[in-house]
Amino acid sequence: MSSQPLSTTSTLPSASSSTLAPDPVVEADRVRLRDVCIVHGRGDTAVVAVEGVDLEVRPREIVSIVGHSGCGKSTLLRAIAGLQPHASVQGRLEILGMTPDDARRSGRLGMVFQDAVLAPWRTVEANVRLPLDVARGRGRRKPARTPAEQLELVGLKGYGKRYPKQLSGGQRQRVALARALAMEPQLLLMDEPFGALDEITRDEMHTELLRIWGTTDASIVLITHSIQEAVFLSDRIVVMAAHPGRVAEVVTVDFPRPRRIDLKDTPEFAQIAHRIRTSLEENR
Amino acid sequence: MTAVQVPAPGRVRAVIPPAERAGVALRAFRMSRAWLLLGLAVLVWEAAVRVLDTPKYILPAPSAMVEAFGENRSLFLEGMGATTLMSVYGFAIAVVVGVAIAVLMARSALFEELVYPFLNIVRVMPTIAIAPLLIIWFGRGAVPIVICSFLIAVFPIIVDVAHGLTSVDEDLVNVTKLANASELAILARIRIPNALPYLFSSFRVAAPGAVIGTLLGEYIGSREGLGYLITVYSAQLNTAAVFVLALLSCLVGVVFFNLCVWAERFAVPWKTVVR
Repeated sequence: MSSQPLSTTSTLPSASSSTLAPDPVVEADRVRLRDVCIVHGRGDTAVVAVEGVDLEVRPREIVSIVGHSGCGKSTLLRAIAGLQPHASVQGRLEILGMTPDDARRSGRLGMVFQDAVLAPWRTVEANVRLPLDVARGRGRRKPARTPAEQLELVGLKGYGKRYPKQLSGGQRQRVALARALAMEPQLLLMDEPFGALDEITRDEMHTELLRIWGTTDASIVLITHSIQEAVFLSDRIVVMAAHPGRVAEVVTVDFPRPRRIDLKDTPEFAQIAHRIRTSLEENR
Repeated sequence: MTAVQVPAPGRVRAVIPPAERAGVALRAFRMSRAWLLLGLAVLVWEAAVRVLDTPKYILPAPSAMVEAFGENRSLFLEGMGATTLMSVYGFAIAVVVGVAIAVLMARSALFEELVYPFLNIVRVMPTIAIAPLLIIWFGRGAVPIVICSFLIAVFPIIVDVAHGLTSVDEDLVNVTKLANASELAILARIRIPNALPYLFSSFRVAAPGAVIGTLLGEYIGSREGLGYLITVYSAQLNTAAVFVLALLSCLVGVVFFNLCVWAERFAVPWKTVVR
């Protein structure tokens, strides 16, 4: 095997931002999308949600997708997870080197939504264990971390016996993150994960997410409405335009890691945020 | 930026309101006032009947009811036992069949499309219209009574459980699909637990309904049970006894209802946990 990156056909800027120790063997991209189109419905009422999207996500990379409401961000994310059974998904989608459906069945994808969507009848620890309880076939594996350890990682040690309704919104979202990590995913998909939280909690969750991500092998694709969030967390930011949803611009963010919260107060940070804002404005 | 001066801590202390102290008598009164009101109503009733000298067959005094109960105690209690047993059978079958139909409806759109209209027809058909048919088909005995009880109890269970099975957050299902969960696992681990509170809330309607269905069945064609005894004593214009039987019927319904509420606490603990 040569040390050439496998994504030689990529039209996106190459990864110049990775500051982590390079892997001895260059791994394949976790996500590789080429000419992806997604159509809802059929015939006269069909709606083209996404058209002609190319995207690569490399190992241990964090890629944010920003864009105005209705630009197909969520649709695209769900298509990556093979969770668009009723839409027509066209083009080439390679997720962890497999089709989205096979990737989903491999149990190597984790997902966090805007709401924590915990099972109210399960205790916090049982919620984290849920994917392990229902896993079957290729999805079945014994992860290195137990659910209790996963909870400790997200800062909820001692909360395992409680029920979700006894937790705050931020704590519930931590449980959702622990559950998404329960199967040790190689790709973590996050759909506005902090959108329902207040600003103070959200800031806290940003540094927490980076800390937790640092202990995993996961790449993250994150959808967000917050420019600050995108700039602080990401290696690259994909700005999408709407009607139909397409990639308008990809911005590389090369702040070194680990990143601290006061990065948000630097002029360089403001500069990139400004650029994203301008791009969003131009692609209304 | 200038910070506003905050007063030093310790200058003002919050006054903690004293704990409420109610005497034993007051607390006993608060706990029993609903019963006291009921007792008062009975006394007023007794007094009114005596003062106005109402005919016994129109409105019997409470004392006359106690007397009627005393005279027929074993007969009435036997009837109550029969009614309770029939209600338990009807309710138990309704739970099993209702949950099974609800699961089929939630799992199969085709089943729902084909079966739901028929269920709705049976549902709106008054049980009192079906009961005589049941007696023609099955004869006088336990079978038509249990079917009446079942018919009234089953529909709230089907409707609520089907709703509970389908009103799951799709993203919670998606979480399990990301672990390659089977449809059976999603049913067992997500849909059924989600439907459990709905099942218990349906019991609040279905349990008293099962008792009403039993009484109806007994009323129309039976040789035992409270419903049958009511027909006998009302034919004799023994109004006091009819009142007693009506009260005993209430008692069966109330006990059924409260058993279900009590069971709910154990079966659905996450609904009752406090912050």
